[in-house]
Amino acid sequence: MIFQAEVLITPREGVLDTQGKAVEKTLTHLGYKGIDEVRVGKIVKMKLEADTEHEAVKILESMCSDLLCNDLIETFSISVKETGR
Amino acid sequence: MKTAVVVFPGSNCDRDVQRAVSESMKTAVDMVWHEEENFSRQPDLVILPGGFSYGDYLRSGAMAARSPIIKAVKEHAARGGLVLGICNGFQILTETKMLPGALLSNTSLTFICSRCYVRVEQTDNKFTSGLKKGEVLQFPIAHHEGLFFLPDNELKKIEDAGRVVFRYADQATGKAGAEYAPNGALNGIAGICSEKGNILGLMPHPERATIPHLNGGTDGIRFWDSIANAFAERGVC
Repeated sequence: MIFQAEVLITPREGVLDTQGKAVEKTLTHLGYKGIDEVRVGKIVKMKLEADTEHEAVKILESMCSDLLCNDLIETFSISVKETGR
Repeated sequence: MKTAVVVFPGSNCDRDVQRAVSESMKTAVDMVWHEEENFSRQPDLVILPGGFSYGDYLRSGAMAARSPIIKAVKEHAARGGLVLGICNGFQILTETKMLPGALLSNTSLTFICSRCYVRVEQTDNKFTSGLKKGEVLQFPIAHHEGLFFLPDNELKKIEDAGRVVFRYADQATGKAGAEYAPNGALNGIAGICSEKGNILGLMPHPERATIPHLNGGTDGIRFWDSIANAFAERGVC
């Protein structure tokens, strides 16, 4: 089966996110009120072949630990959607 | 003594390091492409130079840390061989987990290219044994991701173990610490070594402080001499 996968990678809590702070400051300058704890992360999208959704998630978790995510400073969440066979 | 400089796509300090090492240390230097799986001549010192390997894609040093040559670099380090990572090389060493920590974006969110001063914090390793503990050296910096980060408990561990080798400092007073770090590095850390002292990573560029008629000073020569002398004392020339 073919899955459309998305891996969302964000800075871990407690890790200084200078980009997030800059974005938060600029949003405040633009007049947005009541915003706090802005964090900037990244999304990695891909098409992925696997027998089951469970297997697809396992492969993506392995990719995160091997390359996509630095677990000292980042956390990740995975979503997969079957798109065809 | 033999040195190998690993070249990644996007390395841009490899030739500077080659020149500094061959002129200051008077040693043979092999330039090794990152796709090699082994060193053709077993080196005593492996250097991962500065630059923007793989365009800093994903995270600085992330892709380079998974290059074929890295396995041989790890084996060299496991045998007690010396590994030095400068700037992007330091980022690569943290990505390989050969050194703890991560280098985050500078607090200013800008690329900083400037003169910089670091205090020698310890000399009980194979890189700085020829320097004086507490002396302040001028090495230039040029980076966007230089904020050394470790969670508090792990930061304390490397501090307690005396693994901080260089700390950003004030030239006039010799004081060092976070307030003198141009990039926001925790505890003002500019360079750390491994537990056994045979792996060193630092953000400043000692290879850029080796030419007298340029403005970067010549303190880098003392750093390279220190490494060469440590080898000479063991009979390796």
